[in-house]
Amino acid sequence: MNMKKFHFYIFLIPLLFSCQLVQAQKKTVSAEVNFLSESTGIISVRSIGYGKNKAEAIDNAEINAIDVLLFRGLPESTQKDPIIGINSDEIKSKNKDYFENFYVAKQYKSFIMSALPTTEDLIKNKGGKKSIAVDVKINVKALRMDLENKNIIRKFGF
Amino acid sequence: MRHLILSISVLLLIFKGYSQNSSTNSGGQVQTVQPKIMVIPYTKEGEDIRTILEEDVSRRIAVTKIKEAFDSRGFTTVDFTAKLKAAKDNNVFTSDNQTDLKAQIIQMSGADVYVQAEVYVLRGQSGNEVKLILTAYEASTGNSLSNKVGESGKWYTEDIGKLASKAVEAVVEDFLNVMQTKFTDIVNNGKSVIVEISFDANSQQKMSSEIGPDGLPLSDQLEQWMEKNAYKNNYHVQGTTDVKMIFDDVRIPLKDQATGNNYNPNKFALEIFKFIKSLGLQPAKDIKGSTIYITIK
Repeated sequence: MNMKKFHFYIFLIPLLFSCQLVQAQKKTVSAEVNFLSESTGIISVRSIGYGKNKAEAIDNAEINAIDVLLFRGLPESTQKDPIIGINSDEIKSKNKDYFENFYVAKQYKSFIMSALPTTEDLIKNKGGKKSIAVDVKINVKALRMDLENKNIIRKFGF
Repeated sequence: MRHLILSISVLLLIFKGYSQNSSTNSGGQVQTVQPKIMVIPYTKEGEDIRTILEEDVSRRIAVTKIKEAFDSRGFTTVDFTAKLKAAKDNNVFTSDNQTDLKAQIIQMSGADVYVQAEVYVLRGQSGNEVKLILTAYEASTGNSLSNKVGESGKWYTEDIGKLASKAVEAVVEDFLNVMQTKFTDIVNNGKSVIVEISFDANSQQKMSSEIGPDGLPLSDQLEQWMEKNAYKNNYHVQGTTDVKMIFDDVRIPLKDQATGNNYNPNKFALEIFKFIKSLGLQPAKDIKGSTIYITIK
C-alpha cells in the first residue's frame, strides 16, 4: 500500500464512523413499539424492526424498543414517561460519548434479555421495505442504573 | 516585628475556630443533602395508628413494598415503625387525638417528605381486590409531590397481603418517577420555604413604618429584598397587614451559588435577619422545618 492510499484510508475510516454515529443519533424514534407485559424491573414489548435481512431488522426492533423507553415512554406500562426525556436529538448530542458507545458499540444489547421474532421470515411492506415483529424483553432496572451511573439522568432524590 | 507576629498568631487562633477539622475534611467534596422520606399508613378518624400496622398485615405489606421500591432506586427511607417505637419509648405522645399523633411522628422523625398509603380491601363474589391510594407530600409546605391509585385486579384468593403487594407493584414505579420529576424541579428552581414576618407584642414598629435610609414602608423594603434574594426571583406574597407579612412560597437554592456548599432555610433566615438589622431594627428568628418565623422587637 502506497502512502497516498494509506492516508486516504486513515481519513476515510473516522469519516465513515462519524457518519454512522450521526445516522444513529439523528434517527427518528419509532412509535411501533407496544407494551406486552412487565414484572419487577423487566418490561416486554412487541417492536417492529426494519432491515435488509432478518438480523438487521431484529437489531432495529431492539433499538426501537430501547429508544421508546428512553425518549417517549411506554403507555400502559409503569414507564409511561420517558426515562431520559422527550428531546432525543438534544439529549444524544449532549451525551455523544455515551450514545456512541450505546448504539455503535452496541452497549444497548447488554440490556436486552431476549429478542424473539414472531414470524420466521421478513414481511414485505409497501415501498419494498422489509420488516419483522420482535418480542423484546428489556432489563429496565439495569438500564436506569447505567444511565444514573453515567450521569445521563439524576439518581432518585435531589 | 514582635507586634506583627503576635497579631498573626491571634488571627490564626481566630480563624482556627472556623477551619475544618482534619478528621472531617472531605477535600472540598460536597454531597447534596437528600430529603428524608417516610412511608406511613393512612388512618381514618379514630383509628389508632399505633395498632394499625400491628393488626393489619395488608397495610404492613403495602408500606414495606413501597419502602422496597425506594430501596431499589438506591434511596433509604426513614423507618416509620422504628420511629413509632422510639416515640413510644420516649413518651413523645402528648395527646390522644390520632391526627395529632401522626403529625407528632412526622415532626419528630424530621421527615421532609412523607408518603401515605391508603389500602382498601374490596370483597365480592367475583373475587377479592385491593385498591391503594399513594400520596406524597412535602411535610413543611403540604405541597403534593405525587399521587397514584393502584389496583390489584380481582382474584379468587384470601391472601390479601399478596393483593396489596400487586396493587403497589402496579403503580409504584410511576409514582417514584413523578416524585423524581418534582425533585428535579426543586433542583432546578429551588426549594420552597415559607417566611412569616411579625412583630413582638411590645414593638413600636408596624409594616407601614417608614424606616431605613430610603424612608420606605417596611413591607416594601422587605419585598424589595425578597425580589433580589429569592432564587431566580421566585417568591409569592400571601398577604400583608400592618402587623404581619407572609411570603407563602419563597424559593431558595439547594446549593450556595457562591461556595457550592449545601444551602438551607437556616442560612436564608440569617440573611433576612442581617437585612432587618441593617434597617436598625431588632429581629429574632425561629425556624421550623421549611418555615422561617421572624419577629421584630
